[in-house]
Amino acid sequence: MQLNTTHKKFLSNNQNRRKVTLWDKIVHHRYLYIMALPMVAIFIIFKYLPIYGLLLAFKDFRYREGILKSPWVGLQNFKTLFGPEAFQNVVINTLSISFGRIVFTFLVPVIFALLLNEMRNMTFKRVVQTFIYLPHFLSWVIISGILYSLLTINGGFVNKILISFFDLEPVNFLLEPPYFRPIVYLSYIWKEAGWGSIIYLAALASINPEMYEAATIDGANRFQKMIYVTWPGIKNTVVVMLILTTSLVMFAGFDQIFNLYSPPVYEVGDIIDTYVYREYLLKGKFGLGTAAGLFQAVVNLVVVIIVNAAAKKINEGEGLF
Amino acid sequence: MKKVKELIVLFMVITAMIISGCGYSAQKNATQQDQQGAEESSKPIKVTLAMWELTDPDGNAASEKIYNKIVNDFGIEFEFVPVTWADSNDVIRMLASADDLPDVFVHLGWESKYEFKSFVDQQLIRDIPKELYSKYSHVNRVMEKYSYETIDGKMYHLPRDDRAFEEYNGNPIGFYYRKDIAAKAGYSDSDIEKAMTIDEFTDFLRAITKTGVYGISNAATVGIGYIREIIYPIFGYRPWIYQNGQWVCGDITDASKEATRWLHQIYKEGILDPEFSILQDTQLLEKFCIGTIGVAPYNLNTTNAQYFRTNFWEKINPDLDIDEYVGAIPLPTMKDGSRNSRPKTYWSCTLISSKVDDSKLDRVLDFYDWMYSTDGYVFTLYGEENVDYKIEGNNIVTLCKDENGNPVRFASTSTFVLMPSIASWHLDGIPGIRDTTVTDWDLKMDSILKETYWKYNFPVDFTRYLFTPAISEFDIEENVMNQYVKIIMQSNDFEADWDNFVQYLYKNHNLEEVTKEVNEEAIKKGIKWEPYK
Amino acid sequence: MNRSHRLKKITAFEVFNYTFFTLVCIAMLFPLWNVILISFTDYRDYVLNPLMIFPGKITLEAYKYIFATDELLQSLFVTIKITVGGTAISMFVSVPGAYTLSKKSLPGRSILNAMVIFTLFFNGGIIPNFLLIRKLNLYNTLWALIIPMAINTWYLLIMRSYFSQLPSSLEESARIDGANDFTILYRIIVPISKPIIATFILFYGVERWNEWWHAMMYINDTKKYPLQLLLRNMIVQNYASAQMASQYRSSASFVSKENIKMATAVVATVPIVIVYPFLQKHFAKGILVGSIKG
Repeated sequence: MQLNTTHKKFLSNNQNRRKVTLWDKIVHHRYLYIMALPMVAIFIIFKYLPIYGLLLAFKDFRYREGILKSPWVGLQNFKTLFGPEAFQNVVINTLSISFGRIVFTFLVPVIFALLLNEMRNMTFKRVVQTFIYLPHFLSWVIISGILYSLLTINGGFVNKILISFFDLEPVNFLLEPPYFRPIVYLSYIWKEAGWGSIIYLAALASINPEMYEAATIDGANRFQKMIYVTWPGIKNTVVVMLILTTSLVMFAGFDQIFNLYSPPVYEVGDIIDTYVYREYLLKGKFGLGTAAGLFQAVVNLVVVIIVNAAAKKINEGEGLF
Repeated sequence: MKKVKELIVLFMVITAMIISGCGYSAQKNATQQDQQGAEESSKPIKVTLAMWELTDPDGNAASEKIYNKIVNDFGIEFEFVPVTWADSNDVIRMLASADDLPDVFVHLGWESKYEFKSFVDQQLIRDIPKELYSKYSHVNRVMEKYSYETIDGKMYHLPRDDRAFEEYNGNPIGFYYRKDIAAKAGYSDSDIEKAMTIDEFTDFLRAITKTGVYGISNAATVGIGYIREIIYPIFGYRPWIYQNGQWVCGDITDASKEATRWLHQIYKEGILDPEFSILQDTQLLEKFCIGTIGVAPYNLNTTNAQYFRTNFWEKINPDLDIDEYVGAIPLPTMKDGSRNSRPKTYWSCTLISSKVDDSKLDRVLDFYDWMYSTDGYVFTLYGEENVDYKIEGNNIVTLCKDENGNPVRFASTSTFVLMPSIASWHLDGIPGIRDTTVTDWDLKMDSILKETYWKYNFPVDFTRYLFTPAISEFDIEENVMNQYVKIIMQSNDFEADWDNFVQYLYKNHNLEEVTKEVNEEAIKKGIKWEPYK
Repeated sequence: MNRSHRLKKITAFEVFNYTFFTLVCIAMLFPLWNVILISFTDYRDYVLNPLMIFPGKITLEAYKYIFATDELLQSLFVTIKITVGGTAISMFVSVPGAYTLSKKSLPGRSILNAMVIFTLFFNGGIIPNFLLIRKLNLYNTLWALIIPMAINTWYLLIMRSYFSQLPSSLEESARIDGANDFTILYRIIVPISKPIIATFILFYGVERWNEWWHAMMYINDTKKYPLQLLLRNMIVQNYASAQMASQYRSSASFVSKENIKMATAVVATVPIVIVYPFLQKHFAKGILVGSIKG
């Protein structure tokens, strides 16, 4: 088995006095670069090249001219964008739904994980896990079909129960604004809470069991253990997940909303992405649509930076980056 | 080492695949276009076509017959882009955004004038020059008939004609009702099939609701759908109304207000199905046939009545005689007995993609000429004479049968169901000839339609053809509909919400400027207000 | 655990815990059961019946209807194609890429990592992506459903953190034997990383399986519609296509659109429900291992 010469330089740093240059390093790792080539190609072509397309935000897009030759309009697109009340409303909706989702759904997977962790019957635990992970794999298309058949005022299961057992009037759940956001949050929990608990279960599993034993010896009850042993163990994970969730605040879940919403609930459910799709993408107003996209991306970036900095301050220097 | 080399090659290949997967389709497209350009004029050329419910022949005998005739007589091989009644608008929009419009496609045209105009501005569709169409007599006739519908003097669409519209004006939407449910509500046929005022109509719906089903529902295929198209006109709505010496946007007038108020009222009382704003045609008709609603707004003309009967009633209730169970209600009148009508002409047309060159367009026009005439209509609807149908005296008798042995029209056995109407609705059929698959019930619905809806004049909405600066931005229809739905479903203080709505139009859609321009144009063109008579 | 646990008495908390999760499981499963129920029941019966938990009359009409035309099967094959092909390509690109990113001694590593992380929070948006696909002539091809989304940045980062945790002794001893990075990855790392690789095969697989949004934007040939898009059209427009509509017209009996929707939903979900329990043990372990350091 022969050693190649470049490799020698790295191994026997005592014996070889030649300095290891940058080029040497690159050559040494040449296969790694080759391996990463497809990934880099995809990133450049499909994630960075579209950023060039953001130029459209400052142009009036003409199909026949393409991006390059379409005429510039400066900030006109942004003025038109923020003009209608509808867009301002839509921005508010986006933020409200994102924050609402965090407030109402963020802790559920954590609680699931904590409770599951306390379960001693392994079979039951595994069965439960199988069932609660399952909805994650369904697409929102299917879930919207399910929701419609459960919630429709004309014969949906929920309404049937309301009429028969509770003697109430049936409710037009999916079409009445007061119910729309709760449905969004609840269905989100249904779909993702089980799956989301995995990451916390993993964190819980990494807590040293000796800590628990020590706490038992000190006479701690179940809840004291949770506060003094469990929480510090998963705190980091929770913070990281919180930052990640908050950092997507401008993207309130197009997939879910698009499949669940309808005109009667636009005023509480219409988010930036769905509005842009309807009003700009479908009508070929690409300049305006891109302006909205740019606005979203920039605000999002700012939010991420702020939240990360804040998290670092609160959590003793541990953030996302 | 060999394995490593293999892996290196693999990675290069994958990267190359990624980059070239992009180029592959480019080559494919290029060669296709080259081929087309090189074809001589004698060979058939491919034309992509999008019209509701038209799909590939796929082995269907009837479709193959029509398809082959078109190949032989007009040198066109149609390639169908499938669109349905419910999704055609969205599909066309997506295709337009992708600059991938079919060569020939159906569109709402002037009904959706902003989209139509943007297609023209963005050069997505082409004009149909007089030099090309004037040699086809039928096309020429239709183009001349609608010659006021030009943009910059050019015709950008092939209007969907109908001779029937020359005598009768309007759109075939009416009210079907369930006779059995009406009887339970205490109404006999004769109570209903005479002219009712709007209040009597409301009482009727209310009585139905008391029997435990909804009074009325709706299909929201476009905007808030049928009820918008029939209820608002009943109250006198027109896009622009002349009152107190000037033209005012119809959506803020009392006509609109009262119509919305009425809808809000019946919604609150539980008479209007709460899902009225999201149902599709098929759901509406299913509900009606199952019996969970008493009245359904839908098309009353012969073709559609027959469609409803054969595709819904006879499938859902095969043992019930439709004449005993389903009737039609004449258009309600206002409280003072006056009747308003529906200002509409045809509601769709055919557009041609800008990628179609003159020689291709020429063949398409040849085909459309045939379809504007009775010949094309008869062939695509009834098939070949003495093979698929025969004429007996004044009747056209079909010789085709369906799986159960019942006589059925040639077109119903094909995948080209609506092709007979591609150029013209031919709502009156073939003058003087009766189609024996059309039953008495179908004709009865049609006659109620003609008697009570179609006898009135309808002035054309002149603002439809204006593109002055403010008017060009006045694309409000969808937003207005959404506002109406909001008011109907959620309003607690109707007057206040209505005022807000009016303010909304002024603030967000520049209504003042638009009104000014409309009035100026009216004076310039000498437009006079024509009341219904 | 200890056998002595079984002898301890059951506390109130435990009663609560088990009851709670039993209810949760019922809540998770009941909606799915409802879908199956409707797909097998005559819709008229379902609507008029006060509360139906078990079907009265079972009818297969809806299933006969949706399999009568080729459409469903066609879309199923499209979905299978993009799931299998897409997952393979995704893994081929992500695993070596993540491995490279995890090598701390690699020059330019921080640039590469920054390049990756930046895209988490900033992207071009719907329209620039749409125009790019058109420009690259990927429009209306199945490649458009595989390549642009071949890399999920979250997955990449988790894989990276997993690889960075592996003991460097593995690599060092292989290098002494003369192996280069390719061989190390292929012969040593991958076999050890089976759980995490299985996990991400599942994750990418599910992503491709549930694909509909990009198909709606980039594909207009119905023969290339994936299953979820077909399903969406049925749920939103109440028939999938002109072909199915003409099928409906020529069928003798009545099948409600609701039944059809539910039947299609069942068909779109069954493969996942079947495959998933088998892979559950793998991915649970995989996520565990990959996410400890976040």
